Amino acid sequence: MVAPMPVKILLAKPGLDVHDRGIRMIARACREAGMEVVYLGSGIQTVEQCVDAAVQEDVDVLGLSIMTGAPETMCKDAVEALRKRKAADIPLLVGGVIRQDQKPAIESLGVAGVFAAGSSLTEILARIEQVASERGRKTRQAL
Amino acid sequence: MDTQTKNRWREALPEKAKAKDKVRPVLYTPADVKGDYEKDLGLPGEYPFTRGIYPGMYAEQHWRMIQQAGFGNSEDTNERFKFFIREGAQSASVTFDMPTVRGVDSDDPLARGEVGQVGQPIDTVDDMRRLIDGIPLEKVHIAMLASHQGAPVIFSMFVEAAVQAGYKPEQLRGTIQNEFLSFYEGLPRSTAYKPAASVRIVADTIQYCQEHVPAFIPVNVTAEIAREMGCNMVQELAFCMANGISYVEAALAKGADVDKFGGQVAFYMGVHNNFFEEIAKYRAARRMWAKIMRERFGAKNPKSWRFRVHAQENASTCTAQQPLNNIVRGTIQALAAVLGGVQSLDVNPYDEALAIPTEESNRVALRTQQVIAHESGVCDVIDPLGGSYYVEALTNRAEEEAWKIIRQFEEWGKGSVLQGVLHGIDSGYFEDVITAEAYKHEMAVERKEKIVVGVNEYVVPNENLDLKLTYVPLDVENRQVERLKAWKKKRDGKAVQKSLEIVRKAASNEKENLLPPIREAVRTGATLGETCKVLRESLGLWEKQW
Repeated sequence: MVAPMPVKILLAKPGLDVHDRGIRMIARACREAGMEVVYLGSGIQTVEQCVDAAVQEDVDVLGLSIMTGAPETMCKDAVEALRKRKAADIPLLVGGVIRQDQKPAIESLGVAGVFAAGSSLTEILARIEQVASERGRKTRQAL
Repeated sequence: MDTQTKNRWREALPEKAKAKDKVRPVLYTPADVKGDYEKDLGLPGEYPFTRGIYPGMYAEQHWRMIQQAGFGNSEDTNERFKFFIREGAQSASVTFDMPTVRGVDSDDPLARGEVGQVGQPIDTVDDMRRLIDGIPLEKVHIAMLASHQGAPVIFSMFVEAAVQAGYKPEQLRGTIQNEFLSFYEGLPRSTAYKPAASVRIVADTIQYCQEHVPAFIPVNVTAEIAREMGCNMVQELAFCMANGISYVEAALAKGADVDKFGGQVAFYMGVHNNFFEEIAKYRAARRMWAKIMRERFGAKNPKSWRFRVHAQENASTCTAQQPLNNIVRGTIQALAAVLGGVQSLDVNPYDEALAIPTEESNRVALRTQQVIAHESGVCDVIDPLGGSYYVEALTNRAEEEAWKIIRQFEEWGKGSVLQGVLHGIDSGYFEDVITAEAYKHEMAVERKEKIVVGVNEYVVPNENLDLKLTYVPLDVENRQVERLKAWKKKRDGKAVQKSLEIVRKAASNEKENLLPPIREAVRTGATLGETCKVLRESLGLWEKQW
């Protein structure tokens, strides 16, 4: 029997914001759960650059942390960038300062998980595993 | 009280208390506080200032009550400032948006989505003019929360805008955070000037303020960022002292006189949840700084020995769930800061974890301070917890533990704390210890070893947040970009280029002070982003060494 490949996830904070305590915690928790984590850091890259890296790294999941108060703009850009690079099948998860009323608009873009302040590491990790395995199935079906 | 008697009591403790006592003593007695009253505590206003830096403390004057704002275009923040003043605040503190803090203009591609959302955008001296319009600067302190690339330019714009509004520089009161070390320690992955250049900027600002803006505080030494990132109380205390020592070392190396600038250095610390720990932290910090300035740097002027501190409640303690509970957290933290003897205080509005505060949440935060000041009676007596076995023991322990960390920096820097701190940044020490503490906390919450009310216990299922929140419209960004375009069209482009070249020249010559040419450039019309670009190019950017 071949052991399943670990989930590979790219985590990043797009834009100039550097409040990265949350995403660092997620990076560490993912690593401890046996995932392969690519952490791009914060405050130095645009949304497009994060997406480029996700495509190049061929990840199973892309996770963005957004604390800027306007997550809609960045999520829209990210979804658009994934589409342009023909990588819309990479599930996108976002977390950060996101108001309840902003959630539906973000979800309707096709974002696979929206985690506002107060989300637990357990639920975030569970969702990552879930979307990664769903994608795995989909890809296999396509083949 | 002898140890034997205490041990007898300890042995007889019921099971649960005994187990707790083994992890951390649950009772303190005179046996835990050995020391010399005169030497360790003394009187308020006297060395080593453990009980307060002024003789009369709050019996003479309450701490300065501050609220923070920054969102939308300059008019929005300006309006909120005026609201604070009407409601009785003596100081307004401005939070800038990330593009501004990072020294980038609102039309930069990297700024997209972040303009005016969680802070005030400043591109030009004209934005600063609108920000302070109609604020009585001779009475109201303006605290500017900028400790990154933008800081020297933001400060220059403030001085220039105030002068254009008719103030004399010597009338201006307030602070610019201007603290780089804490930024590298807390947020090492972001780009910043090379550490040596950053330290120079602080030294230049100190010198500039001494000569031109003497009532202004040119640096707020802080470790609050590291605390927000997750470090513990002792680390915060140690990092704060170490950063303070570093700037003094740098200013002395520039030839400054310790007694001339010593009184201009102020501090910025967090207030976290553990009530007594926080009180002890502030008491220990005063004693440590007094020793550092008098013994280590040989300062003779008692003003240089005083640890003046602003207390900022740690926003990371606010919960998004059941946000009204944050009023209770804010009150307990505010009490800790006041019992800790701070000089100014900023209480978190209850909606801090959710959005930019509303006028209402800001008002409740301010009222919290006013109720403590006028109704609780805690200000009737100076340092009312002085002499508590527990508080004194905690104060002593905080100091001892913090010195251990500082000595480690000294060792790394072969005597120089600044060099040791820089080594700590480059080697990843700060990032490692801060992340480790943060993760420890996170796991304790996940496992319910630590209870956070409303988060992992006493949860309201499917909580419906029926709360009025501040909405910053997305078109703030377009308006700001339009303004910037119009400004660039109107100004004398050649004069701007010339003034920026003078900044570039000054930046390449360590002996020159950067502030006068920067102020001249922004007066001519240079934007924040243009000026910072020149600084980035000539001072060089810091890159992670490991």
